[in-house]
Amino acid sequence: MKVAIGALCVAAAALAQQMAQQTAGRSEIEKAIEEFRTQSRLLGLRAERTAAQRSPARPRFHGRLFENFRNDALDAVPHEVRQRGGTKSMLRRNQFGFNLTGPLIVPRLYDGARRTYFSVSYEGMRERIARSLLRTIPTMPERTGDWSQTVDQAGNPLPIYDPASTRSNPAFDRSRPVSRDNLEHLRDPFPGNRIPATRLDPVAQRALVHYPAPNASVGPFFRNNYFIHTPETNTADGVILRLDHAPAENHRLTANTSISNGFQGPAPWFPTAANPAQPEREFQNRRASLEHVLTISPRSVNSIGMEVSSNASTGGGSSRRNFARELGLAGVGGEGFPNFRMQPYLSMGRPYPISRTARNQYEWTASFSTKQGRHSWRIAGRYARSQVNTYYPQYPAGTFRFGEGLTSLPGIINTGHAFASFLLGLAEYAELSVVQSPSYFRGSSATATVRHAWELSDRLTFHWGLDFDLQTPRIEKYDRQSTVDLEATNPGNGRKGALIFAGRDGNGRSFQPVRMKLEPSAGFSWNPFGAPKTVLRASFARSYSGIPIYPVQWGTQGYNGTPTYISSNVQLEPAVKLAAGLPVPGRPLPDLRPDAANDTVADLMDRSRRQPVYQSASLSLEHEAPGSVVVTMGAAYSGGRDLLVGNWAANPNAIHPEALRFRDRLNDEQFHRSLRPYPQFKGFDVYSSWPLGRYHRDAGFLRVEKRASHGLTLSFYYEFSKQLDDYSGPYGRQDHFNRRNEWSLTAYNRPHTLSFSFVYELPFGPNKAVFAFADWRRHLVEGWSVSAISTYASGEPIALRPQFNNTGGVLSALNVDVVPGVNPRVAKRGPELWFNPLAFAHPADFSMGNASRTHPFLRNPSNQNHDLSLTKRFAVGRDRTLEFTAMGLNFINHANWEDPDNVIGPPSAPNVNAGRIIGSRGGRIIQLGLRYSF
Amino acid sequence: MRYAAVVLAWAAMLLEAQSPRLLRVPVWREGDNGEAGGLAAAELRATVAGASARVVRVLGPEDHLLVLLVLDMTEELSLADLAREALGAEVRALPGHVYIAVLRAQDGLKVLVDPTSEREPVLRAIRELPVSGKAGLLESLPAALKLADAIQNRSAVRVALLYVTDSNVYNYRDDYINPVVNWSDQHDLSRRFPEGLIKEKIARLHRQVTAYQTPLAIVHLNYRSDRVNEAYQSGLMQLSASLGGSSQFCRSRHEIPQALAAALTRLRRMHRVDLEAPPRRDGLVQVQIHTESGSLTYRDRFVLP
Repeated sequence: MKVAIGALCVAAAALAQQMAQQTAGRSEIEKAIEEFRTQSRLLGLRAERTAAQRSPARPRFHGRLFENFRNDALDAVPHEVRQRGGTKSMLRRNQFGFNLTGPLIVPRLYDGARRTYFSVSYEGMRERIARSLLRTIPTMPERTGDWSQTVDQAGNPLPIYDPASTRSNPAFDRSRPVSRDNLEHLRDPFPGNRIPATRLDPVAQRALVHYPAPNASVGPFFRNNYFIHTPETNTADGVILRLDHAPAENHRLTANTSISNGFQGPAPWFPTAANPAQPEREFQNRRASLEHVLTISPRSVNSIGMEVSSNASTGGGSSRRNFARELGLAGVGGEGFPNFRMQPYLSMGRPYPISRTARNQYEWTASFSTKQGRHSWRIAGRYARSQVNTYYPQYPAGTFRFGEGLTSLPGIINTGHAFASFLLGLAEYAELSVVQSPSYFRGSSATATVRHAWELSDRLTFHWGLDFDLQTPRIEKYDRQSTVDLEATNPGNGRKGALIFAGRDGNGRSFQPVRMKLEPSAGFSWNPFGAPKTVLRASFARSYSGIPIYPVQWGTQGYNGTPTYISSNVQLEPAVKLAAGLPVPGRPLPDLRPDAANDTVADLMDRSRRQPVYQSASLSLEHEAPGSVVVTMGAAYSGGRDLLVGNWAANPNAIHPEALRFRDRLNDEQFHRSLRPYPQFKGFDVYSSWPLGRYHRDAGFLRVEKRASHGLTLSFYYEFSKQLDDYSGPYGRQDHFNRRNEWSLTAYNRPHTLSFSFVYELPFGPNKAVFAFADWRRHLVEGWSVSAISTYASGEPIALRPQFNNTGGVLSALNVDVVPGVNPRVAKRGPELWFNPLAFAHPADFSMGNASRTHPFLRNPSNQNHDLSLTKRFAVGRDRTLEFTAMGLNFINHANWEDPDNVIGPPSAPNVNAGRIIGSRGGRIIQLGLRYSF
Repeated sequence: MRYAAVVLAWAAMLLEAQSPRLLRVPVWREGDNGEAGGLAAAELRATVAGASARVVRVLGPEDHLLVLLVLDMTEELSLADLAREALGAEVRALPGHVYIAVLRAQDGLKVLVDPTSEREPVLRAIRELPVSGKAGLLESLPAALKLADAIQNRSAVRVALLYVTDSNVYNYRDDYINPVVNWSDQHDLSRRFPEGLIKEKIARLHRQVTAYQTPLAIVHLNYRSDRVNEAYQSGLMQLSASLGGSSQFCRSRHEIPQALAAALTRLRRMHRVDLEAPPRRDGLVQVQIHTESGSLTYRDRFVLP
C-alpha cells in the first residue's frame, strides 16, 4: 500500500512538473492571467459555476455572544451618598445577548447563499440601580401641629396663624399698602405656635400615615432632612431581525423588524402608597420596515419603502385601590393616591398615576436619484400617518394644593406654612380629572423634496434643495376634541372666549389649518487655491417644524372633565376643606356647552398659521495638514421664531403687570379674575404648543483630528457659543407683555464645551513595535487597546429667584432685583460662596424684579466627565475572538459640584444658604464586559 | 476527474514545499517622481529576521503590473460617478504593461473583468457598475488578497490590490454598529464606546491579512467624522499600512481625482523584491532592505507560514 502511494506521489509530482514546464513557455503576465482565472474560479468569484463549486460551500455565519456586568462592589461610593454618611449604593446590572448574521438557508427548502442574508440580534437587561435625592419633608413635631421649633430660612421663628381667628381690621388705611403696621385682616397666631390636636383635619391625619419620617439632618434649620436612596428596577428584552434579499442584480429588498419589551420601576421616594415619584411603566416598541431599491442604470437609482412602528406604554396600574375612600376624602372616586402639594415639602401622591398610550406611525417613502453630467438630482417623497391613542388622566384621585396664605398673617410674607394649612385640611386649590374614555388622535404629513448638486468647476460645487412640507392638523377619531375659541362669545359672562367642539356648530374636525411650507437650503464647497486638502464649506437652511401630537388628552374638555375648585382669596378662604371632600360636579359628562370649561384651566390651541421656523448658516474651513492631522474651524449661526412653548412661557390669559398697583386686592379671586382678558377661565393650558418662542445662537468651533498613526487616533473639539432666547425659563416668563424683557441667556447655554477622545491600539505583540514575542507570551501582550472620552462643559447661567412671590398671582415667575454697585462675583469662588447674594435683593411686594431671567455672566459650576475603556482581545483560532472589556465611567471618580442655592430671601429673612453649594455628585462606575465574536 | 484534480493540487503542494520560500516585498524609492530608474538586484542588501537574505528577483516600474481594482460603491451616486470618471481617465492614461482586473466588492466579491491591457472592457465595467447594495470591503478583503497572492506566487509580475470605496460602516451586512435594541433601557453604557465592534473586526481581519504579501491601496471617496466611521476608517488605514500599501480618504469631491491618480501612480512606481526566506523560521519576521542609491520605503514585517 505504502509503495503504491509512493508511486502515486512520484507520478503526480512528475505530472505537475510537466505542467509547470508547459506554462514556462508562456509570458509571466499570461501566467498571471491564467492564475487569476483559476483562483477566482476556485474562490467562487465568477459568475459561471464550476465543478469545484458544485459542492456547496460551507455557509459563513458571523456573530457574537456578550455579557456586560455591573456591580456596586466594583464602584466607588457616589460622593452624594458618602456625604450623607452612606457606604453603599446598590448597582446590579446584567446586559446580555447575541447576534448572528449569515446567508438564509433552510435545509431542503431554500438556499439563499449570495442572495438572501439575515441578521438577528437579541439583547436582554436586568438591573437595580440606587438613586439618591436630598429633599425636605415635615419634622415630626410639625406633623403633630407643633411649630414651636420651626424657623424660617434665616433661622427666625416662623409664626403660624389660626385662620379661624381671621377678622377685618377696623383701623386698616386703604390709602397705604398692607404691612404689619397696616393690616387689612387681623389673625391670631396659634398659642405657643402649636395647632391644637382637635383642629387637625382627620383626612390629613390619615394621609400622614403614608408620609415617611425624616432620615437626615443636612440643614440648615431642619431643611434637607430626607435623603432618598432607593433602587429603581428595570428590565428589557428586545430582538432585531433583518433580511436582505437580492432577487436580481439590480433589485434589492430589505426588511427590518424590531421588538422590544421594557419595564421601568423608578426608585420610590416613599415606601408607601403616597410615593410621589414616577409610576412604574411598561413599554412595548414594535417596528417593521420594507425597502425596495431598483438600480435603473449606473447613474439612476430608485427606492420605495414603507415602515410601520408602534410605541406603547402603560404607566401605574398595579394598584387599583381607591385611597381617597380609605382616607375619607369624599367626592373623589379615581384610582391612585390623592395628590397633596405643600411646597417646599415633598408632595404626597403623583400626577398621571395610571396611563396607557400608544403611538403608531405608518410611513411610505419613495426617492429617485440620478446623475447627469455635472448635475446630481434627488427627488423624494414621504407620506406619514400618525395615530396617538391615549388614556392619560392627570389627577384621577384629585390634586389639592396647600399654600401658606391660610395660616399666614394676611398680606405679610414669611408667615404661615403650606404644611400647616394641610394639617388644617384647608386647600387653596383643588382639581379632579374625570376621563371617561381614551382619545384617538390622528394626523398626517407629506414632504416632497428636490436636491441638486452642481459641480461648477473641479474645485467648486454648489448645492441647493427645496422641500415642500404639508401637515394636516390633529383630528380625533370620534371628534371628541375641543378648544377655547378666543373670538366666540361665552354665554357664562358674555365675554369673548368659549369652548367649541370639533364637528359641531359648523366647526370642522380639526381646529388648526393645514400647513404648507417651502423649506429652502443652499451651500457650496470650494477648494481654494487649488489645494485639494483644504475645503471651504458654507451652508444655509430654513426649515419649519410641525405641530406634534402629544400622548396626552389635552384639548378634550367637555368630553372629559376637570372640575376645579378655586379659593376666593388664598389668604382668607379655602377652596376645599379635606374633611368635607369635593362637591359633586353639577354637570354630567359629556358637557358640550360653550361654558363647560368656565372656572377651570381651559385647554387652548393656537389656531393661527404660525409654525416654528428655524434658520441656520455655517461656514467652515477644513485643512488636512501633514501627518494625517485634520483641522477644522468654523462659525455657525442659528435662530428661530414662533417656537412652541408651554405654560411657563405663554399665557394668553395673563394680567398686565401694571395691575400690580392694586396690590393686596389682587388676592381677591373675583377681582383678580376680572383683570384677566378672559375672566371666565382660571387660566389656559397651551401644553407646549404655543408658537411664541424666539432664540438666537452664535457659535465658533475648532476640531482637530489625528487619524490612526501607530495605532493612535485622537480627536479634540472645542466650541464657544452664546445663545439667547425669550422662553427657556428655567422658572418661566415674568412679563408676558414685554418679550424684550425676557431676552436673556438661554437657561441651558454652556459657552465653553470641550471634548477629547482617543483610541489607542497598544503597540504590543508580534507585528508590533514593543514586546514582539512570537511564543506563548504573545497571548499576554497582544490585543490590548484603550479608549477614552473626556468632556468638559462650563456652567449654565445662574437663574436667581426670590423666596416669595407676593404678586397676587399676577406674575407666575418672579425675577430678583439687582443691588446697584455691588459686585455679584466673589473674590475666591468656592462651595462656601459661589456668588455674592448681597448683589441681589428680594423684590418688594407687588413689584417685578429688575434682574434678567438668567444672569448675564454668573454661571453654575462647570461639569466634567472622564470615561475610559480597556480592552484585551484573545485570538481563538483564525477567525474568532474573545474580548474582555473593563470600562470606567467617571474613572477618576471626579465629583461635580451641585448648583449653588439660587434663592434670594427678603431682608427680614435672608436665605442663609444663598450662594452656597451644599454638595457634589458623581462616582466611578465600572462595567465589565465579555464578548465572543465569530 | 475529481481525483485527478486532488492529486494535481497535492503534487503542486509537494513542489511548492521543495522550492525555497519567498517573501515578495513591495518597495518604493523615497521621493521617486517617476524619473528614477528601477532597482537592480545587485544593488540591494536585504536581511530577513536579522539574517542576510538572498535577493532572488527584482521587478521594477518597467515590468508588468497587474492591478486588481476592487470597486465597493454603495452610497452616494454623485461621488461614485465622479470616481468612475476620474478612474476612467486614469485607466486610459496607463501604459500598456499595466494590466487591470475589475472586481466588485459590494454584496460579495465578484469578478467583472479578467486582467487585461485593453482599456475598453475595463472602462465599461467601471462605467456600468451600479451604486447599490451592501458595503463589502471588510468581507471581501481576505479573498481578494488570497487571489492576489496566488498570482504573485505563480508569476513574476507585480501585483497590487486597489480598493475604491465609499463604504459606510452603517451599511455593512454584518453588524458593526451595535444598534440600540431596547429603547427603554436608559442606563446602557455598553454603547458609550461605540467603536468596539468595528475595532474588534479590524483586529481580527488584521490577524488574517498580515499573512498575505500583496500591497493594498485604498481610496475612500467619502470621509465620515462620526466616531464609529472614524474607527472604521482608521482601521482601513491600519490594514493598508501593515500590507505595505497606502490609504487616502477624500473629504471633498474635489479630492477624488487626485487621490485616485496618486494611488495608481504609487502602484506603478512599486518594485517587487523577492527575498529568500530563512528555511527554518516561521511566524513574524522583520525585513530590511538597503541600497546605496537612496532611501527605500517598504513593508518591513511579514508572517512566514
